[in-house]
Amino acid sequence: MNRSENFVGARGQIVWILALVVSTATIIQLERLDTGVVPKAGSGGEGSLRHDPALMDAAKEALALADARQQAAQNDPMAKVSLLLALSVAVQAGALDLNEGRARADAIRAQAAVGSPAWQSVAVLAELTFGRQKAEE
Amino acid sequence: MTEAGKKGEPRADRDRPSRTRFERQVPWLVSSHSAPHLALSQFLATCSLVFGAWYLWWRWTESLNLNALWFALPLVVAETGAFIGLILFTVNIWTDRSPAPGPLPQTFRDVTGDADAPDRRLVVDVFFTTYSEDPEIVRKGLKDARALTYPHRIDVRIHVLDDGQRPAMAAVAEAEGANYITRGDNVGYKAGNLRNAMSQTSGDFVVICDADTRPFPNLLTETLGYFRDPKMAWVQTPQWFWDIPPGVPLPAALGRRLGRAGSAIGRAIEKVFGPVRLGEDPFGNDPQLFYDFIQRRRNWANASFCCGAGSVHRREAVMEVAIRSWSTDVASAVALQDRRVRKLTGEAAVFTGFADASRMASAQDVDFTPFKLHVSEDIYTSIRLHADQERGWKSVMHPVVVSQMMSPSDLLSWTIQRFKYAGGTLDILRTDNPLFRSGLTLPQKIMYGVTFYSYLSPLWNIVFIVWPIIFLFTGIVPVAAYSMDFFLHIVPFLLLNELGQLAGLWGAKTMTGRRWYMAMFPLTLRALWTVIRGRRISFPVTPKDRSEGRFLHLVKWQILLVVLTVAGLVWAWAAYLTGADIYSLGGLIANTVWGVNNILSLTPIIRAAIWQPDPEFDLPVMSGLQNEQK
Repeated sequence: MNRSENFVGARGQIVWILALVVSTATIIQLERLDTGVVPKAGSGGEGSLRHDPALMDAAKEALALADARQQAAQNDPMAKVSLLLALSVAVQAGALDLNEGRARADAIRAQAAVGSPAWQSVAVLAELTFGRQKAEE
Repeated sequence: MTEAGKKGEPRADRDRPSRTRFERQVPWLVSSHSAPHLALSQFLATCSLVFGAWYLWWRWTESLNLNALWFALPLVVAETGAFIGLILFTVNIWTDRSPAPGPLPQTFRDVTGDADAPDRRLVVDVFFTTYSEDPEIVRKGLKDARALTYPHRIDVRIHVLDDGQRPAMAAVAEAEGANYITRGDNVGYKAGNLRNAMSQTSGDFVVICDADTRPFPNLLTETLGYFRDPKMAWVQTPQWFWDIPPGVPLPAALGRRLGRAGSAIGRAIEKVFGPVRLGEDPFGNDPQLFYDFIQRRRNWANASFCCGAGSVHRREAVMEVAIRSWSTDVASAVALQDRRVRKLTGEAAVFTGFADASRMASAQDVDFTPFKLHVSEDIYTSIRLHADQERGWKSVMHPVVVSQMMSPSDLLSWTIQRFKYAGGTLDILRTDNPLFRSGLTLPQKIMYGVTFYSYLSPLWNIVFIVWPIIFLFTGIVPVAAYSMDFFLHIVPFLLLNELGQLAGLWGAKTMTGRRWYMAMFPLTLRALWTVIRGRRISFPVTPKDRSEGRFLHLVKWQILLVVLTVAGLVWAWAAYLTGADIYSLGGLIANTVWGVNNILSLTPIIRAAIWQPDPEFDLPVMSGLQNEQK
């Protein structure tokens, strides 16, 4: 076989390779653009953890408890830790609007000057939750 | 390799006897890859395997969707199964190192390696096996066999092995100067037919031809040189089908619809992309990939197997292995009988007279057969010869086309043939697994393993075809997420794999073979199920199906899957574009590419079910025999 015949024989594979490269490049480009579609709830679907109804209910309940404790003991550092943790979890579980969650979390983080290990961990979690969402916006 | 093969000149075509209307059908030329080319393909293949292993590790350890394991697990198992197949295939096509034939032997002594062997002429028996084929087709082959050339004086004896016991066939054999051999029954079908002929002939070599085989004059000059090596048991040559429909050239197809403008557009497209033929090889019968790459690249491991027609065998090897196998089977039967008797009588040893009688009875009961009586007798006999450690028999796949034959020309014939191949091979795997057979070397076991393993492919191909459909309709994903991480892991592997195969199989129409391999999964699955249940390997056919050309029911699963994939694509994209948010864009694009690839794989076999030959371009080639008669 000469070279051109070999190319003709390999056309199918060459097209396949091009399709693979083009579709990958397209995905990368579109993911960067972010079309605004957010994966929603569905059993096993992408983002399903965030939209599990049971988890959402649990997160709401935890947030309510943390709110109540913060109201009852406004100077208790552990109440702040609990509330920040509950806000992060509620946003991640889809139980709380991101902007609302971020505003409340920022307020707590501004007040707090706690150096305990629990506070430091939960501050990182809040940064991961709200900081990443911010970057994606 | 011969000079013809090295230089790539169309020697086989030059020597072909037919010079008529269909002579434009020329066999492929032997592929030849330079050392740097081979090294590049090996480098790419290794990279592909490394990236593939990395991807699979990531799949198993980090990317399973734990919320939908019922969906995620089968896919990752299927991916692993396919990857093991890829490793085996890579080993198979790793190198094209082949033994070179020696100078053509002049006498019997030259092929024995024994200086004391008689210095007499070589005798070659050419067998044409037939059962119900048109005697006129066989006549063509007989004429061609009479035209076989050889530079030294040898005896070529041509035999017609007619299992149909037909006077018309006997008359043709007599008219063409061939010996007519028949028998009273059809026990063992082709293998039994060959066994019967072996007992009535005595040539040093046996050339096996099917009823439609037409040997080229150079068949013996291309092959007998290998038998200078006294351990060479057989030489297989490619089975080239001269009647593969060439399809309609694009300019002609467009010209029929759009007139001159269409022809011009067709020519312009061909100028850029090369010749385009619509409906070319509708049944994916072109066997170049199998013979010129897969089989030939087993030569280095001494593991190319016999495929029947177009092979030349050393009689001594076939008979000796048959005797050895027969004596082993007799000994096993005697031992079994001995154990039963001792268990019954409670004696420590069996009476000598009884043991002798038992041995005699077993010897009469056990079949003596040069070619294993099995639906896949060719590969079975090959395994038996390769496993003979004492003699160390060798085989070689000679890449030059030295004969022509006919291909299945409708989907039913194709299905029956492929079902037999799949069922026969899987049956050997179940009953006499070569991987556990002593005598085979590790490379030989791997090479046979490639063949057997390939027939397990429907187990993962069905997952690859069905899974995107489930995603498209439900949004459920088998991976944790179609994130950048996913694409980062899978794309390098897919890309390198494709590039590796492109380089390694440069010159073969790989994509066609791959699509048919994928599309025939219901057939292979059925063969697998037949073998698992221990049923007889035969594909049920109603005469009406054949006479009325009703073949769509043969591809009902493929049709269903194509329809579901198309519907899934429409559904998912419509849902996405109207704001439904169960899909990520990455997942949707990935599954669209995957689904389209599946559709492209499944449509050729569906098209084959309704295919009709084009009267202008296909029929003249398919009816080449009649044209030649004119």
